[in-house]
Amino acid sequence: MSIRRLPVYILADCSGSMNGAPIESVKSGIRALHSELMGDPSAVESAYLSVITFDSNAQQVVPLTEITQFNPPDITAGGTTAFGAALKLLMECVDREVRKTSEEEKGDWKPLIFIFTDGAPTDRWDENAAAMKTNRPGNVIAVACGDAADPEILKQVTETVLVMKEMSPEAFKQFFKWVSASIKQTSQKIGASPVSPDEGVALPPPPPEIIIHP
Amino acid sequence: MSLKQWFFGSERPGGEDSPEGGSQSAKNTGSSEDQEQSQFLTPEQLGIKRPEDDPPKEEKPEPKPAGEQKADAPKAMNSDKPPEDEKKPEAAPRPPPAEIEVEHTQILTKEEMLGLKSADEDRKKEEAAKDSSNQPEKSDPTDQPEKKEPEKPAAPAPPPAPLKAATWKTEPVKERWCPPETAKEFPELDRDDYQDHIYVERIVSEQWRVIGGSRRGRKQAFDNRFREDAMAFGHNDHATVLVVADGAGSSKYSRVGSHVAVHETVAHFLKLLKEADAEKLKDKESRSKLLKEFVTKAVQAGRGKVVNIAEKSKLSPKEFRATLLTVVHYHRDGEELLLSNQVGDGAISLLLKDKTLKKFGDADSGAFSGEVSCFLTDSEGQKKAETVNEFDELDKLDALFLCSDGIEDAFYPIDKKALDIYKQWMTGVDKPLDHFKDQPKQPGVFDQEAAGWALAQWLEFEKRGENDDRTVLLMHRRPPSVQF
Repeated sequence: MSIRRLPVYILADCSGSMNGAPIESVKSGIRALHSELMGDPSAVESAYLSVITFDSNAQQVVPLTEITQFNPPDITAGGTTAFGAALKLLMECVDREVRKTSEEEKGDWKPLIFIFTDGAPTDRWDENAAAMKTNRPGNVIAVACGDAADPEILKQVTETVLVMKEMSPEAFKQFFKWVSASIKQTSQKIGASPVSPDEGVALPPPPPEIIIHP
Repeated sequence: MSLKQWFFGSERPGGEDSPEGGSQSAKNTGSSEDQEQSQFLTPEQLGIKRPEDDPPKEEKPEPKPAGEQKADAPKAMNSDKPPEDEKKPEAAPRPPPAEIEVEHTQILTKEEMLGLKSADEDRKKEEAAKDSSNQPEKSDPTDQPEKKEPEKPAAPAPPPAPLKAATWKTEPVKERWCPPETAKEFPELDRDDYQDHIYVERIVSEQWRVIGGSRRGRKQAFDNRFREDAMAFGHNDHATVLVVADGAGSSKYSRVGSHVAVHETVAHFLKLLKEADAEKLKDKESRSKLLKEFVTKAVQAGRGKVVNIAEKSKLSPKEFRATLLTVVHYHRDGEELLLSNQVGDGAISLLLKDKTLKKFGDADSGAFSGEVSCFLTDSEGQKKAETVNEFDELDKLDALFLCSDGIEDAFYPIDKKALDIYKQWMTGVDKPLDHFKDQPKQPGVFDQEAAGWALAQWLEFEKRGENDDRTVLLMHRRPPSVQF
């Protein structure tokens, strides 16, 4: 019997428009996230991290890995925004990596999925977005960064859409800080089960840089 | 007989019998796990190994005040920072590709540590952090450079390997057990005898003994929360009723919900039995029907009381959500009968004399871990009380237990793994089971006179990711006939 994990997927837009300061902020944000989670025993025991990036293609740069084994990836920006491909890959990864409760095994906790993008998709995305809404692979939080990103598109993927107007290093820093607070809060909650499945997750309030898109 | 009398068995050696007066129990309340243990302690005598993460718990409260001054946000996370800080400098000697962002990462982390509750607070704290970073372990060098001296040679944080994973610690709860809204209407619930860990035992009939233990989870302890599991049992000449409840982690006052539900269910069942038509209980057919009805009514009474308390307190019953497991054992004229009802998750397991297991409840859980579709206080809870299971081949039964998901999840699937549990209770623990980090060594729980205490020790097992409250209420035949 294996341990039950809290799978956390981070879908990061690495298209050309992210080049420079934004991608550096994402990289250091992921590092900060990791070291923050190392300081929380619930997260250390339960949370597993995966990073999926998308530019002209989508790739899972870090498979679902436990916190203590996680190596923050080196990622680069360039290319277009294969948002649809990223959603498809995400669903495949969740399917493959996340265990459901069975006769023999207690399932993983419901995954937490963070998606952020700074531009409009350049591929077919609507079918995959619709599939995300029906399949509900986890609790999905999508963030539209900067002016070019369309929160309405993200609304097709999940109810929980946030907008980060500014793409400054500070804003990214606050974003990742909030992500780690969300993971911690979730991994603490799960230790004190049971919960009702219709409740979804309660996340901490986002920082002022990030507003909730109604 | 008062509620407390059922709850606190009279034969326990721990001395918590009189919750108000007992000096032992007074000491217990709010004490760290360590003290708690050392109190019923004979571990050395028994050769019991103490869980390793316990010792640090005592020291933790010290660093905390520092954290408070500094960050003014004494959240659970905060207080565990100092230990982590200590560790980071150690990591410094292995400096791989020390580059700019690496340094930043370290800084970010530090800042984050000072309070990740809200970004606003954070900003204020950044300044505060610098002043207070003169703490011994605080590595000033990393705090101050703040994006300015990125090429510091020490570059302490680089790859994840050097980061030390945090460990558990125990935090006393600061709020009252009973919410003020409820205490106003129900002063009797404004209890101050709450304890992190409790255990009970009692011989209830010639052949049967009840043993129970409930332990506050490491998660709850880390998160400044009360134990949310509850258990109670009661008995008379013919019947024993065992009840376990698990308060929902997402409900604010689920500790009250679970506590009230177990006690009311037990009380109501015994009351119904007392007032029952004796003739109907003598006849085997009508007895079964009547007792099933009583189980349903008792569970509904437990539910009713919680809902009533919520409403009178002007709080939502959702804040009091709990699961409820009920087992009734009835014996008369050499005939025995077992009934059960289950609302929510957790498990009821029977051990038969041929060493086979039987699941004896209707567990309810969702596709993902920790999900329950119906709690006692939900409107469907009333309906769930109507499903009562019956088992009448009692001559085949050797032992049974009810447990909360804190046990069930660690031994999933329990319809198979329960055998490991019974085996340990009967023969003792020499080494941890597979996939367990640690288990205190001990002789068989059933063999010990202080069986409640022994069960409390058993509940100390350590398993990764399993840090919820743990509750077991069991009944076993004396002497057990199953041989492992």
